[in-house]
Amino acid sequence: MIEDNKQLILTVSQLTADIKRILERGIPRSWVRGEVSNLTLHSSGHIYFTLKDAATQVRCVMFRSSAQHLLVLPQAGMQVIVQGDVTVFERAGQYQLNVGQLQVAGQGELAQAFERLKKKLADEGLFDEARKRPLPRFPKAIGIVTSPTGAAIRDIINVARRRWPGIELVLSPVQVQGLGAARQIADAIAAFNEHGAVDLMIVGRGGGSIEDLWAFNEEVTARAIFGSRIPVVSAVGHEVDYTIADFVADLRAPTPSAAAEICLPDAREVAAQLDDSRARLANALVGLAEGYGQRLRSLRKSYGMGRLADLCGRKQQQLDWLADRMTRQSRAYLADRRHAVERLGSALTALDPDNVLRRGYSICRDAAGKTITRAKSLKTGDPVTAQFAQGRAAMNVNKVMP
Amino acid sequence: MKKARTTGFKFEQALARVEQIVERMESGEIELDQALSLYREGTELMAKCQAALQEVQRSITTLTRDSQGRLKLDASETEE
Repeated sequence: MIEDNKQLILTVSQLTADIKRILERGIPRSWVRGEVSNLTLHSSGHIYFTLKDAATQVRCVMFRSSAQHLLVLPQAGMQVIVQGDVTVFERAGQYQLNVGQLQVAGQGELAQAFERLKKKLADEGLFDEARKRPLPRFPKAIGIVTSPTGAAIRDIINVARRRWPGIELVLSPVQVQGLGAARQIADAIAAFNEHGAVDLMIVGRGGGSIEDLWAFNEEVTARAIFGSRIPVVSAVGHEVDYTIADFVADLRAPTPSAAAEICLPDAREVAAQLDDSRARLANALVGLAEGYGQRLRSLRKSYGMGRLADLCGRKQQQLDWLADRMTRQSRAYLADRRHAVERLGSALTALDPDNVLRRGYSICRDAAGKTITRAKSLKTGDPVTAQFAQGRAAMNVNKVMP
Repeated sequence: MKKARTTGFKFEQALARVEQIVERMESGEIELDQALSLYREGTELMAKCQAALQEVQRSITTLTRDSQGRLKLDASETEE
């Protein structure tokens, strides 16, 4: 019977096609609010989840082309608003919402997610002040994890060059917003640690909405900063923006420009400090020399030195006196000797026989030439010779008168 | 990129040493010949610091991974 009305019998495909046509044409693109559950991130980049409220649920798919623009990855339990078209997935006979845009429903949701992660990481000790490392005062090279095209990198370069022209800056270019940005940031931090080219890192981006900054509120970013051996300065958004990254970082800079200022000393200030050191060093040396001069002078004037001078004076005096005495003594001695010599000389003169002869005495010698001193040694007739001061005379003894 | 860095010279250490020398000299409790050698050391370190301050500006480099996942440093065109 039914066979007779063949034109009324549909294939599954026909039915599905009808459903698809009716649903897809009949329901305009709509905004739907609900709670996320059963979230799956597929390796293809597509995101699958279920949107539900207290009573019902609808399957959702967000294809990679749309998902890649997501700033905040929805989390299970999060209230979101999605815009999408109802489509029918024929193979499974299921309708689903093909999501083009997804927003977290209100700041409250993000704030809650933020607070949840903040509490979790705080409990784990990721924010402990005790583990924060001091920044090197004069870094040799700074690694920068940010977008290569954003305002942040330009600001950092400008300020860094102004403050410390010789600084080596190494950029690890990353996407700072959108799905996968947090992973890239984490990988870049790890890469700097692996490579070891820098001794300090700035991780950040310029200002934006809380969704724009969300990559810095993700756990993977926080854990990468925590795991970094190299100190990390966070520089996310503007002064008022606080992210999870700021709490984990060794230091939070209010802006990227400020980060460059915090990381680098001002070369002009250091130069001034060097000049000051140079002046102080020279002054100290002069002062030291003066101090020693003073000490030298006061030593010279000291009692001990005076005593020494006195002693020297006394010794000098004694020496002078001795010298004088010696001179005097030797002079007297010489005079004495001279007199003695003179005396001896005159004595000798007195003894000279010639002198005696000149006074009229004569020497009488016998034939043998022997000086006759006694008449008794002569006999009458003996020849004798008389010597006078000038010449001699031979004679014979006439008479002996002993 | 200028690669030649003053090898072994650590700016921070040099500056700290200069500070130390100045303080030591200013304390006055030091022998003159030692003061002279410290003065010489201090002025030499300061000259090196000064030179480091005037080191020429370098271009920015980038750290990226190649297709084999190896890290490499490249001079980049990012800087205008």
